[in-house]
Amino acid sequence: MEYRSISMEYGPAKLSSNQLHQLKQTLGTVLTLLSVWALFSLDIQSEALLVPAALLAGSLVIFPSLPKRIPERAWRIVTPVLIFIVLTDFITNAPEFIPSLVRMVVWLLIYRNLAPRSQREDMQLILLCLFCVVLSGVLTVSLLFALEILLFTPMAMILLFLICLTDKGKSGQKEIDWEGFHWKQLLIDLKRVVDFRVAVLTSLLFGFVVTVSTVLFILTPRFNLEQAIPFLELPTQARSGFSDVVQLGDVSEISEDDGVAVRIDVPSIEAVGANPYWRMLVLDNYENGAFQMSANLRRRLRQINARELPLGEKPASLRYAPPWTFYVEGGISRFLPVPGKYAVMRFQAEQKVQYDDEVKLHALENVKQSVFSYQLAGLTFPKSIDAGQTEIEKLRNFEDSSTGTNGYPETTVRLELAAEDRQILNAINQGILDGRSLSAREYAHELEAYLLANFSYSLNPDGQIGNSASGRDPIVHWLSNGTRGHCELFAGAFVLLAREFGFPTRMVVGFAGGAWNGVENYFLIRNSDAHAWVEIYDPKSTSWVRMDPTSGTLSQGNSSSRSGAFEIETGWDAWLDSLRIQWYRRVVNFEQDDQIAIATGVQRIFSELSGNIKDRLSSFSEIWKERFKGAGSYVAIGLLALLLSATLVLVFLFWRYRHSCLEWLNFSLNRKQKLSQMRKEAGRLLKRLEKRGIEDHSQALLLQLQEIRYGPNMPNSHAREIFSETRKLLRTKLHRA
Amino acid sequence: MLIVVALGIGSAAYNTASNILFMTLSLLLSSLILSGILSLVNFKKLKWRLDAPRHVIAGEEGLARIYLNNQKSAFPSLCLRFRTAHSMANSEEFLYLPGSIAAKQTTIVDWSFTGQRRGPCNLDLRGVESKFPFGFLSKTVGDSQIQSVMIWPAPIEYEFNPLANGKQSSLGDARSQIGQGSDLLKIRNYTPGDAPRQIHWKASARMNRLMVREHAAEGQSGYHLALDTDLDIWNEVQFEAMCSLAFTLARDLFHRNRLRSAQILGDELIEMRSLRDLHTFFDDLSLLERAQKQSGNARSLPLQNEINLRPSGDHGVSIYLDGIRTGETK
Repeated sequence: MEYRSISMEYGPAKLSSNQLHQLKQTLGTVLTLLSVWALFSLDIQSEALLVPAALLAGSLVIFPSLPKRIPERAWRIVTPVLIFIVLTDFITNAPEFIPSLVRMVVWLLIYRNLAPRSQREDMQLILLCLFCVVLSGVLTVSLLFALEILLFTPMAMILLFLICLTDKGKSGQKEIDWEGFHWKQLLIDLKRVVDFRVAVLTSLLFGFVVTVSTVLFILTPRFNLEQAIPFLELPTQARSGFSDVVQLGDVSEISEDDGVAVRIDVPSIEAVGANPYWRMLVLDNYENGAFQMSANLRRRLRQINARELPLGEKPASLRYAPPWTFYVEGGISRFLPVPGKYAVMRFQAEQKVQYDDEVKLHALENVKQSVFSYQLAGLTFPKSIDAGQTEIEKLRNFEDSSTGTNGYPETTVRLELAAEDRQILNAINQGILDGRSLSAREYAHELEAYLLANFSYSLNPDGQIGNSASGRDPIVHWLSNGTRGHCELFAGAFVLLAREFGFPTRMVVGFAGGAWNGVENYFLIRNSDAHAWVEIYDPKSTSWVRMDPTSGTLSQGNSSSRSGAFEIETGWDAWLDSLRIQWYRRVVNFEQDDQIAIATGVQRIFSELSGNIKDRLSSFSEIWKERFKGAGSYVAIGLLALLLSATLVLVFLFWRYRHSCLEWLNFSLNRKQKLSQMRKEAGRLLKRLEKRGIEDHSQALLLQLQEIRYGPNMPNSHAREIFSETRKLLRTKLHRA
Repeated sequence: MLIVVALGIGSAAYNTASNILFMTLSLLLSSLILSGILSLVNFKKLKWRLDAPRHVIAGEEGLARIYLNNQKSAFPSLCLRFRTAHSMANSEEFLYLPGSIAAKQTTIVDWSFTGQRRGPCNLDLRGVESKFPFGFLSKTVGDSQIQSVMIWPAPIEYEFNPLANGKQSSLGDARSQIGQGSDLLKIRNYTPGDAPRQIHWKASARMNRLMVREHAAEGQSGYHLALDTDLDIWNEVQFEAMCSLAFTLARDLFHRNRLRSAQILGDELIEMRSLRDLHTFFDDLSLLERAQKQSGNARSLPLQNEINLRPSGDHGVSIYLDGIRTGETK
């Protein structure tokens, strides 16, 4: 047996121990940079710390030797200072602890990157980075998490591998020598180490991890989801147009943002009506030029913990009706967009919800920072919503007694305006009625026609609506002096005029229209689809009829989309957006039902496959049976025997020579690469010099050529200069000859 | 570490039903699976053998060798360390393999150790451990391989001056070199430890085995070391010093070719014909313990040039040559 002594035979590794430590150190910093980047997704108002942390990590990636300049004694005061900062942060921000927790982790990351690290500290750094990435992912549920974790996993694995490689026990630990460190040199050496085989093997291993984790993700049993505790959430602010109080112009402001607000998985494109309206808020009270949800209506919202609404048993036909899955982006509103009637509203887990079945309002406890999803089954898009029994009773009594109260739904009739303003409204109404007696629906259409005839749609209204110095109501002022306005002015004018006439009317805020993603076939609503419209109470049908006074302006060729109609989106942007819905469908909303569906699908595929194989085998055996029975049966048997023998021989040969095959493969992959063009050229010139017998005359040139041909790689520019000189020499000698 | 993290994330995932956490958990578990597979490949077809020296002097560094063979045809083995322990140290030590061992290669890992006190010492190679590939899960394979090493007594400084006591004539009989100027007594079989120059090549050729010359000088001059282990004479410290002195004295005398025999009272006399005889005596010294003197242990007639060791003071030991004090430990 041939024995090799380590000291004699094992030369230095391709990457020296110091280089491995350098690589480990810088990879840790890159991981930190990735983690800080992940934390930027959180809305925790900590940019003052995150930005310097990111800059520091970036600087350390470029200049990894910087921490060496920090004097040793500085580390003695770091721990108490850090403890003081972190405790102060927690105490001053109590009871909110997530932002403080995140800031604490960032401080620790900074400390770990600046202080010298041994194996234990490297592990801590990886854990801190994992915490950042996962926390960011869980709180934002963003598609970005997929990218972050895909980057984090291989980097963390390589870092762990480097930690393992450099682990030589306590006695083997030494300080990293940054003297003469150059990224370029390290990368060149790294390139030398990571050859084709290593790259392929690493890629295969990473592919293996991704595949196995996908399988595990699908197979991990999900149970007791009803009892799931909601994960920590970061509260955030709703868009101003989607809160309880909406000032004139708030909704229009949202519509200037083209970001996606809601994505909806719908059973089919036909299921979405031509003009879908997505109700979110009902604003019944009008005061001081702002629409708001009255305190009474707010109190009507019942707060319950439920996974399904309405409470109680539902018929199976409704429960299993094709669901519409809504994915509402974070930071939009705590009110959920619900287009109309539905049979069942289902949440992913038990949820604290505030809702009113009569007004059809659904709100969460807080505005979510991450995407929130829910399903609606048995959904319809009615133009009118049946009024609740309480609403009907109260509105009837209100008409009879004509006594004003502050409660809902009386607030939908109340109009607290100056007498002068009311006179203006009355005058307009008289003009619309023209002496006729109109029902609520007739009046609504006449009013809509009036507004269409006298005003045009614009995001820049005129009529000085913002000028309160006059003391007049802004909407009435706009009605008197304006010619163009946005949806809130149209809807507000409608509400005021209808109430002046005596019809209960309320403003509704939500989205109108949307777009269809043709790549993945789902519906999406952008913030630019934010809209305000009205619902007028029709005593005849005891329902709230939806009226959109703005919609008529579109037929006049207005470019702003307020029709509620939708377009079909395809192309690069649509493809990118479709990734998000895939993420929500396949990952975020993956649950037990999906597991069952996958299992059933797999079972079906296998049963079909086994059926096919069985059929093929039986037909194959039938063919051979026929052949054996026939005249040429000996030939058939011979052929079969030959086939079997050949297979056995091939299997035997493969098994017998598998090691040789591997060696051959190894040799082939290790084979020296072909000579570069530069070396070839140097070889040619050397031969020419030799042939002409002039190699003795220019020893320096000869040596340089030999260096290019056989020595280490040389910069191209330098080699070209030498070639040029050689050719010149050759030409000179040729002429002399 | 990863297992603890996976457990934490797993419980959080089940409590919150967050698919992001389930996704993270899946990634961690798949990393664990990959770690297991890579670790299995790393350990596969890895053979090792411990080769320990027969004896080591107490307090001096001994060197055992571990022959490690990677029998895999394609993959190297990395990040290996041997779990080692020896019976004289309570703690376990790790012996790191520098770099990696390529496929179909064998390497030797040196294991240096120090025997603190005389006596038998078991070198225990408890298997190969590796944290490969991710450094957080330590895996050990292989059974324990134990080899015994005899730790000889530690050398001790001493003075031995036989000339000062009128023993010049008898010492003058000793030759510094074997066979120079003396008659051939006999030709005997070779025993390990015999000097190569003693080999009688003609006789070896004739007998078809190695034969060595034994000169008349052998056995006719030099000293005879006799050790008394009587419990009544020695205290523990003195006894250890006596063993060390006996070892050092025997070694030095043998190297000067002046040690003819050695005997522990009660045991058989060992004639110092070869190095092997000396080593046998050293092994006996390593195991030597104080014992109650028995009547049968008494020797009737002392030999000429007999060296005896006796306690001196609380810690020291004196050397007596034919009953005359000729030296002592320092």
